[in-house]
Amino acid sequence: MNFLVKFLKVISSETNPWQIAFALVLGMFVGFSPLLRLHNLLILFVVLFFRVNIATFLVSIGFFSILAFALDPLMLNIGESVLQAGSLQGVWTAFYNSSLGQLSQFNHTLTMGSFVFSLLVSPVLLFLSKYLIVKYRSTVMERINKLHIVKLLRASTFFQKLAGLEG
Amino acid sequence: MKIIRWGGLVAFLLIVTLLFIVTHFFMDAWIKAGIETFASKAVGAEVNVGRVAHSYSPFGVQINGLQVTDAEQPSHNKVQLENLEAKLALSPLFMGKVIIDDLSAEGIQFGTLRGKPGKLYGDEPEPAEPSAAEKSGMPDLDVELPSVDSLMNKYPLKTQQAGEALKQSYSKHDANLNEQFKALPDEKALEQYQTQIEALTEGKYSDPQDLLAAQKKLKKLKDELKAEKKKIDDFKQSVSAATQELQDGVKQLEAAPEQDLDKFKGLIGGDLASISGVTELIFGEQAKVWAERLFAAYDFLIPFLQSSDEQVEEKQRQKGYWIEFAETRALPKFLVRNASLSLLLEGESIESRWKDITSEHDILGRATEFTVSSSEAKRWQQLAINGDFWIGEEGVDAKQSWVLKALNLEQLPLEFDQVISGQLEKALMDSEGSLAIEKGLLDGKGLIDLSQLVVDAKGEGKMGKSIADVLMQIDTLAMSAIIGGELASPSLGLSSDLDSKLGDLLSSSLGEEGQKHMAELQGRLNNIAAEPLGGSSDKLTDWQQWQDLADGKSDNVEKLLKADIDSAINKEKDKLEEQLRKRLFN
Repeated sequence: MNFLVKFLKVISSETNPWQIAFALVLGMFVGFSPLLRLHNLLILFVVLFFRVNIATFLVSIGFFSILAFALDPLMLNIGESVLQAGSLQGVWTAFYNSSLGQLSQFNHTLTMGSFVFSLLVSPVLLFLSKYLIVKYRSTVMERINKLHIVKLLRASTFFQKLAGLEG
Repeated sequence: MKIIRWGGLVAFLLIVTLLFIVTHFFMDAWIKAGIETFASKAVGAEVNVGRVAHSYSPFGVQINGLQVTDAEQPSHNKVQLENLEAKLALSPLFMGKVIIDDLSAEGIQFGTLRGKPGKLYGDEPEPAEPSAAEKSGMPDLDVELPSVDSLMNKYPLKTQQAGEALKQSYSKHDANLNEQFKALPDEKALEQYQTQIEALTEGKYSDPQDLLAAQKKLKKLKDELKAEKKKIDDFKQSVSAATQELQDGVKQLEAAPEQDLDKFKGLIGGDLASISGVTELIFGEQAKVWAERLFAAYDFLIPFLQSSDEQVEEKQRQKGYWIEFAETRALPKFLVRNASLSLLLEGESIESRWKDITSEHDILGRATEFTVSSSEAKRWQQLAINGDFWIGEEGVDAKQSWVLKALNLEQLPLEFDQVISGQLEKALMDSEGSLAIEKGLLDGKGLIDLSQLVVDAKGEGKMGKSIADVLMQIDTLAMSAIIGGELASPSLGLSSDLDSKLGDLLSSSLGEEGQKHMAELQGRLNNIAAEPLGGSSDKLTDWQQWQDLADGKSDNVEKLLKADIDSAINKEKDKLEEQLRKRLFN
């Protein structure tokens, strides 16, 4: 809940929209793929070392992990198709016989499928999320703030909590 | 805006370190829990691990005190080992493959008693179906000795059957032969043929018409003789076939009283069925114990490997699967390249070597091979087992051979259904045999020889006591084992010369009454056999005489058939030519 509150705070704050967008994308990679994979460790490093929004990243992992249940069959098919593509057999065989290839566990259909799917979706998600955050802040947030119910909510516990966290 | 967060780097390092520490300290517990859970599901019974330790260079695990509950006997372990050390290839682990380069296990024991009964996780094992011999049991053990009349009336006698068959045989053949013999040409007829032929062959023919008439007449006589000759040959063939049949019948009849007597030896004591299964009933349990040890690879390892495989497959279907891109042959999901197992059997240490233990031989392309060898041990002179197995899509294919020499057996319990109890005090056991498994079906046979046998047995009831007495008298026993059935439910059948020994010895151990019965039976059986035997002997003599006569007639006919008029004319011609030559040149 705290991460969700923080996420709401973040998208409503002055935080750079790219930080949030990258967090969403990287969280999607982790959320879709099996957890114990080498690329997830690299993503964790990127998230921590670069100024990627951590709260958004964690919320994104949770959201996309749930979404993965529905998308697993699609991602499995993608992984299977990519790994069995005739033109790529040479690449995969060379990679399979390297230490990095074995550590990456790329030859697992769900690992490959989720990674490729995330890779395909990531540019769309990146730019769309950035655009939506900016749009949200400039239009929706202002309109919402003017609503009577929001004014009432401002006095509620949730808002107090949000305000408390903000402070 | 700064894009690097140095504090984040520290956090990352802290997280990685924390992960390593947690893994390091909890890995042993995870491996222990993993083995217990995974193996318990695979064998359907509780599996306990005493202690687990791991090492990094080379990467491996050490397991102490592994116990696998016997699902059929939860108070005992199916297998127990003191120490197991496995060196694993690290990179295949990331591909979900367990490749053990070297595995060594010490202190492997079978059938040890557990501290407390193990839990069962699968379906309760169904009680074993009683064998046919057990079903037949030992009926009416206190039965009184049956009278000779009742025995002879109750059970069909081979002597009587063979005697009837012999009588029928010679009656049938005698009538036919008699008829055929009467149809043969008698001496007078043959003499007439001879006179007519001599007249024709020795006659002087000045007129060609006469010569032609004589030749026609001779041909007619020869045709008649040929018909007679055929009758004689047919008769000789019939006599020969009838004689052979009668002689076979005589042989059967001569053997029948002895066979009847053997059967009655058992019947007098109780029931024949109770004797024929004695070997299996008394020694079966001990044989099963040894069979489990000899076939431990098939009894334990293969089912374990197969069930482990099923579990992995089920998991992979839900979570995706691994695709191989190996330049060489792909590796199976589980493989032990080399294993050295040290077994404790009957207090003796036995070394066994294994190569390529896996459940996916189709992928590996090689069978799992194993050898077990031990010589000059305290309990035996030599134990050698060689075998291999291949678990494929169509089932298990395997072969195994074993040689066991001079195994010292001492104080083994022998018991059957409270009828016979006691123990095998001591014996030396030799055994050898082979077993083949094709598509999961077992086909094997072996020999088990017991020498220097000393048995202490007690029997209940008349029959039980008699068998116990016999068991205590014998000092050697040769048993044959037949292994069959399916891999999941093998069957072991035992037979031996004990059954015939029991038959022989029972007759002498049944006391005076039994002996009298046997003597009376023998007398009666001999009487039954005597009449047909005497009758057949007379008939055989008659037939032999007929055959001699037929042979003589056959010779005469053949001589007559050789007679020719042309040869007489040629003689005359040669004579005239000679006279002409003399006149011309002198």
